[in-house]
Amino acid sequence: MNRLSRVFKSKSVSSIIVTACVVIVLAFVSSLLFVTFTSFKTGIDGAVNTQIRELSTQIVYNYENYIGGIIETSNIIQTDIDRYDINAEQESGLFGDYLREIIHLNSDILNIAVYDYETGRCLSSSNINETGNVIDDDETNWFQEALDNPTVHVFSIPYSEYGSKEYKVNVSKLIKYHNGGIMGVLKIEISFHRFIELVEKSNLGQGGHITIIDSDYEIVHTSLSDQNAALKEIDVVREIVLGTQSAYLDGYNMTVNVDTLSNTKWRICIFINIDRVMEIERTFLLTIIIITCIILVIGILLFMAAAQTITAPMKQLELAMRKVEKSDYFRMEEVEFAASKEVEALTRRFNRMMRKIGELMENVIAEQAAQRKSELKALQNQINPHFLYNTLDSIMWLIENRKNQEAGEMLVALARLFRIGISNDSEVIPLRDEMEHVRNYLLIQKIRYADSFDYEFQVEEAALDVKTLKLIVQPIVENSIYHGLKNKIDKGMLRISVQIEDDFLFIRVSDNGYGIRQEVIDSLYANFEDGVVSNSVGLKNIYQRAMIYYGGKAEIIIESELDNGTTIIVKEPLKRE
Amino acid sequence: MRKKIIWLLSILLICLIISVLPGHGQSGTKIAFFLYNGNDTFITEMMETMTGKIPEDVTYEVCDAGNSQAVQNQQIVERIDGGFDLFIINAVDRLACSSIVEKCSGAGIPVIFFNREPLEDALSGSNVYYVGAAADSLGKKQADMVAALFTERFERSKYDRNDDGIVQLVILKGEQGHQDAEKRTDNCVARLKELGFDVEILAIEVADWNRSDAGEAMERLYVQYGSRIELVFSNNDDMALGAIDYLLKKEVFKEKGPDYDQPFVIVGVDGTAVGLEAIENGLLYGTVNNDFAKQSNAILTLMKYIISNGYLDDFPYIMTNSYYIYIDGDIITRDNLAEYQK
Repeated sequence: MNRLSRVFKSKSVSSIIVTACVVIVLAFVSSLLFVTFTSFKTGIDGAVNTQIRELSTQIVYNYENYIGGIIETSNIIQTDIDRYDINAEQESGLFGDYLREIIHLNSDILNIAVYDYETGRCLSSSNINETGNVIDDDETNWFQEALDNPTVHVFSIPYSEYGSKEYKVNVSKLIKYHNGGIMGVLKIEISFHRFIELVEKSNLGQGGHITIIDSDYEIVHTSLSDQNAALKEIDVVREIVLGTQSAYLDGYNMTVNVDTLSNTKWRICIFINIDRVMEIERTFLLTIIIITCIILVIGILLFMAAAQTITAPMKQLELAMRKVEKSDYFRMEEVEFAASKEVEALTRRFNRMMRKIGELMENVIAEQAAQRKSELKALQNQINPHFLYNTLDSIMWLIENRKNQEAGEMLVALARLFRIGISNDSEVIPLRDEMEHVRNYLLIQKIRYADSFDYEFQVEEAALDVKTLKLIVQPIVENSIYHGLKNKIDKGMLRISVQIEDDFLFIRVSDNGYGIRQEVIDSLYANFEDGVVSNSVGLKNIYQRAMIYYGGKAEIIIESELDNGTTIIVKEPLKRE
Repeated sequence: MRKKIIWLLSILLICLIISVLPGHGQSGTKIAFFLYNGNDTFITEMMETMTGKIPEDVTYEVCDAGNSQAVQNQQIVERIDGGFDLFIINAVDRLACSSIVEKCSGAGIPVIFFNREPLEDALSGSNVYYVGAAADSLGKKQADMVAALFTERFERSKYDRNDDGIVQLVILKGEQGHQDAEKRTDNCVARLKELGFDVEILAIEVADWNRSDAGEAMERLYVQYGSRIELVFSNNDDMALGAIDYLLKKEVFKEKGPDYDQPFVIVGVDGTAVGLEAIENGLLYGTVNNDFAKQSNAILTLMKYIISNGYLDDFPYIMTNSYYIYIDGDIITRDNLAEYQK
């Protein structure tokens, strides 16, 4: 599967879909093609084979019928001859009459005669003139063959008498006559004309023909006019021996059927032209291949179109996204087009997302504005004319009292204080800088309030590089001085401690002032949430800035014990969400 | 992953090829029987006898040609590549045997012919055999059986009805041209002559092995020759029974006590159940059994030799001309009838 996905990786959707579909369709169609053609071929071959078999069987049946008729005649003669003693002249004549009657019944029989099996003298014949003659066994060797094969009828090869065009076959058989007592040879001359007629009746197609061979593969008869071609075919027959096979002969596709002819030693070879069948099969194959190709092409086009309907809207979407990406400021860009259900859903989502982004952007802009405003307020606080006036007044007072040293320190502190407040554009600064800022502020205030309070820092070393919202500690310290320590009779103490606990930065500002009453604390908390943007630079300003920046993760906690002091805790997450 | 898929595919392919391969899973011996005609009771009875004795590890198939050589050829050709170890063929046409032998030896399949005897020039090569009745002997035994009836030099033989010292007989012949009919007919007469009798064949009637045809034939014979008939040879039991049917009707054979009064006797061949019954009743003098049980045994023994490539030197049957196994029959008369009745 990995490999598969690797193959498809970073290919276009349409090419993936088209490739997958083409592979599937190709596999499906080609297996369909294979099955269809195989079953068609099996079917048609089966039908053709059945037809050929029936045709062959019919032809064989016709021949066997014909031969059977001759054999039957011979059997009748053999049965009847038992009653005649044809050695006697009178009975020989009577039997001759009998034979002539038989010939009348069967037009295929030309002549019947019985011969003495030792001397070859004609004992009785349908041809009166022949009786008494001693046979001169002709080239067909019928007489000797009958003696050699005593139990069967011997069929000679066809022959024609000198000067005659009519072919004849001698059927001879060793017989017994006169109650089985005496042996003789029966010869029935038959016309071969009917054989040839039977061949001509069969429709074997162009070039189809019948060849009859004897047991030594010598041609007895062939309906093929070209004797050399017939001889060549005998090799095919030799290979078949018996049964059916296809062969390519003389330019034709042939089915060759070799069968025996009952009552003879002959075999009949039927050559049937099956070119037409092959042509039909070829045409069928061609047709289904063409149909397959058309289906394939149509399929590919359809898939491409289908892929297009999916990918085109996606491209449009992508275009819209790119526009958004390129523009310097956010502009609402709604996409609208007709596409498939899924893609339309996607577009709807995209549009909704764009709207949401727009809303968020507006919020961010508003928040940033509020933040700036708050910061501005915090900054304004630094250049509070009262503070500046008081500070400068204190410096002047120091100078007047020749406390140049302290005046110098205070000036430096003031300078540093403003530098941190003004210089940095960033909302957050390292805690180190924030502490420096507070330290400078405290230095100034301590000189101003003539050492009426002390302060100390307890900052975890690790926390020094943590970023914190700037100008967040100084207002708290300022509140502590004004509200907690300023009117205190004994010496006030201000403690600033910073720790990291559980991914939070805890900045604690503690004083040992009068403390705050619980109602006041509650009203302060309530004031945090009232939604009005604070104009003051007190706790609410800090709270709102922290909320905007950290999004609810930050907290301002007020802990107080009356007459014992107050601790303000700023809890900032180390990471901004 | 890819390798696994290739492995899986090739295993699938191999399984497919193996299942398609011919003869897969067929480890036992496979033989096929080809019968000339399933309607011939002699052949079907013989077939049943054989199939009843075929060992369990041998599978077989029986094909009925319905008396058509063309159909039989087709059946043989269709099975030539079927993984058969042996063909046992009862040919429709004796003359087709040479082609069948040529076809089967080309495919290396041994052949046993039975019942229909191939011509001598048809059997050649190795593992081609014929098992059948000794047709010559069956005819001869018919003659041997009746010889005793006439041996008393005729003066005292009641069967020499005209006291001329010559046996006047008629023959009921099976099918004209049928090897068995011809051989039985020839040999019963020849043997009688050989035993020293003078024989006069009054007539030979062809009755096609058939009981009713034989009845009609007997009628013709009896009408023509009547009291001259001293003996009837029938080529089989059925025809003999047909003749008896007629003779009983004409009361030539008359019931006399537990037996019949018979002016002449009839003998048959085959030893069928009805034939044996007729012997028991004293209607049929005797028969020569054409013993298909023995023939079946010979075929099955030969089958085992062929399948196990055994040496035919140890083969318990006599092989004539290297290819022919002839099974002789026994004379059955009332004297030994009990041995043959089931």
